[in-house]
Amino acid sequence: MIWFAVLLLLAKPVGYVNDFAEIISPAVETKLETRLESFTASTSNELAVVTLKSLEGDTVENTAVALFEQWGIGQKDKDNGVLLLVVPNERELKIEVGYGLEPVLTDSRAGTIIRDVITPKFKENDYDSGITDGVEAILAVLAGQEITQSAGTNNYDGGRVVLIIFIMVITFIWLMRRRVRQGLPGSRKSSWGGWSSGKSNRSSFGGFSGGSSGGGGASGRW
Amino acid sequence: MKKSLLIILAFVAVMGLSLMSTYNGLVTKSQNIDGQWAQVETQYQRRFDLIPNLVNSVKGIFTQEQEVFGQIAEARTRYSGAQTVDAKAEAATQVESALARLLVIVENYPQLQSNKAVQSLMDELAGTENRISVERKRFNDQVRDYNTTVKRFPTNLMANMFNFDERAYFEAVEQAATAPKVEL
Repeated sequence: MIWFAVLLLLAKPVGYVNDFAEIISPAVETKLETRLESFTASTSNELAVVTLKSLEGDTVENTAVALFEQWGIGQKDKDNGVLLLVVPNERELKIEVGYGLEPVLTDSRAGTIIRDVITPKFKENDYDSGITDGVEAILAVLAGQEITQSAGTNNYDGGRVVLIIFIMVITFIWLMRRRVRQGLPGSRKSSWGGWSSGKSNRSSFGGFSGGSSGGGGASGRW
Repeated sequence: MKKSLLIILAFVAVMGLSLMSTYNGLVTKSQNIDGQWAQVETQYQRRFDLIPNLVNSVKGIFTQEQEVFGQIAEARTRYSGAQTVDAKAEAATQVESALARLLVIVENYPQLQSNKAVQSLMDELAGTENRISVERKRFNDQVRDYNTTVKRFPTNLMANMFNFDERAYFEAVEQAATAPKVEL
């Protein structure tokens, strides 16, 4: 357990999506990363998705709190971060909510997302849809919408707007990249940071902004 | 003559400054502990406010489980009557074990698992219990930090002089840590 804590301390965020357990397909990971990046840009809220191979004997709740504390998800003065932690080995997950978002993303809403949106997909071993739909449901709740079973697919009203924003962001990234490095495709990870910094070719994630949480949210298993 | 006086004055000034910063450091740490305890109490209050809703939503279903409701009500009354920090902590622990018992009972009633209202209350309760344990752990971490400072040389001389005593940790009662057995 001590070793695990040390490992956890060493783990640095690589982006908004940190698929350490390698259960998310590259295409979905890129899509989520872009989605979460633009979400932070427009709302200043920070949502981190983390998958870990195993809990190494600790509870999913403790692990989520430790990770949240270590990375400081959310803005320091607003504590507006959310962590979606998925651990395939123990088949457990946790939505850890920063202090500032507790009134919106309540424990019972987090529990509903886990039970009705995420775990049904996980039970079919469909991590891609489970995580994508879960993220969309969390974003919908944070935007003040009610949870629907299929919040992830473009069934809700904001779907079209989101699609347009998505296309705009992609175009923007594409333009920036073209200007910065004249067409070199580069790796998937390096597309991160390329647009938030613009001028530098930073290949590592700039980090979260120092928000804190206190155990709010919900956990579940599948 | 003048030179040695200056040296002594400088020495006294440096000592005074270092004593001041040690003293202020102790005050800050002590205040942090109090602040963290307030966080724990905020979560206790949250739990306290949740209980009536929870009990009302399940009371009708558990006709044979009146005993646990009696225990919860009693512990809750004791908590609201508690004046000192110690009494509050003790009463909170009682609330905790009674609630843990109720949680086990609820889990054993499959028809409740599909009841949305009960489910959402259970989420809130589970979240609250988790918050309490997080804030308590942080409280203990701060107490450990403070106690270490108070005991170490040379801060301990200063601490003795100004009566900075060691602070007590919050210790969870054994009963709360182990899941209670329920006969159904």
